[in-house]
Amino acid sequence: MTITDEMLRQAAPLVRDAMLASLPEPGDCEAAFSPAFRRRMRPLLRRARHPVFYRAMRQAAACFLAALVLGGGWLAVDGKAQASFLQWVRQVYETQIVYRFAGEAAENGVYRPGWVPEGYEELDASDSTVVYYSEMNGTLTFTFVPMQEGTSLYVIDTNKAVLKHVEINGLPGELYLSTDPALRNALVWLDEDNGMSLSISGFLSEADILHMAKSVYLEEPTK
Amino acid sequence: MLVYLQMIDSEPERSKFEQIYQAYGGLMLYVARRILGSQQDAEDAVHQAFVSIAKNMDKISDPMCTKTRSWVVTIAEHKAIDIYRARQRRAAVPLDEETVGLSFDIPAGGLAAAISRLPARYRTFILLKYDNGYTNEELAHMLGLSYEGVHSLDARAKKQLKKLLKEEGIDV
Repeated sequence: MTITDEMLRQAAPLVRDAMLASLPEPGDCEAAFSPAFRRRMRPLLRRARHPVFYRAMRQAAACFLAALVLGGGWLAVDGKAQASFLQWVRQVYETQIVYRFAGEAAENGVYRPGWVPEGYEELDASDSTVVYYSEMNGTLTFTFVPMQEGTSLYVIDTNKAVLKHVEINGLPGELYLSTDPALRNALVWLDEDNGMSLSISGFLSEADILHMAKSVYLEEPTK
Repeated sequence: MLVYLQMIDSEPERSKFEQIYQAYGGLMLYVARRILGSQQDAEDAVHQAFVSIAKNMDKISDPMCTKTRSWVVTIAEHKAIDIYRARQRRAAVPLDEETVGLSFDIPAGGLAAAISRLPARYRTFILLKYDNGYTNEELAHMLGLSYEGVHSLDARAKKQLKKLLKEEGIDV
């Protein structure tokens, strides 16, 4: 007689049950982790919550971090911009702008664009991000993120973009048109009534990015 | 040009990974501490286990089921044994790898009892492959081994099982 895979498949659950029975119940085990361990776990927990986002943004983040290291330090907080974005603080660095929310969290919803340019297909979607892909132009990312105290969201490299103030279905937005052909155009706008910040980033023309933004609708309020 | 720096820290719906972290983190630490003794080494093992779990979350349908509980315990045990082995290589007095790991009895005898008496590295492999259903390729990725290393582990585990069964008088 030989030990077949089927025999092992039948025996393994008995081993599993005996092993678990020899251990305390999970609820009886104190998770007495050190602060250092908890700090090490934070990035993993964040990535697990937003897997699509992290895949789509990994390359861009690497480019940004390099730019941040080279770019220099903090200069000022732009009070006018803060007012126009209500509780969004627009922090102006030497070569970057960072949007940060500084108020109470609001209700969520699921947003979707009603139109995307021809040639793009949905590649992946999570609870806050939809990534589209075109063979010609690569990824196109649509994100919607609830306002949350202390959240740092958007970083714009102002050395490589021209800013235009726009309006998306009555909502204030800022369109960053890249001056570097290797970088995507980006649009950030805010749905204040629903407590949501939205963005589109991709190799799209100004007209297409605005058209796509104007087609975005609230699909499924969750609260 | 547009990059998210940091996502929100309190999503309304907790991820499967976070559920596993909350439900089993303490149990995994218990397992790793039983093998390694030191809190710091045990935390290293649990962290490595969570890195491996995070990479394989797509294979988990129900974080709270018995199979998932067994899976995370097995991964934590395996990582703790890896650290134990690394520590053993540095030790002046060699430690006994055959006895390291969780121990438990299956009184009825037979194949299941023989698996429970295998060295922990073999037993964890058998559980991951034949209870959780991972392929050799997936196991290579999960356990940080080469494809050939997984095949070798499979063969050695079966050889050891035959030896244990023969000792019981069971002809295989």
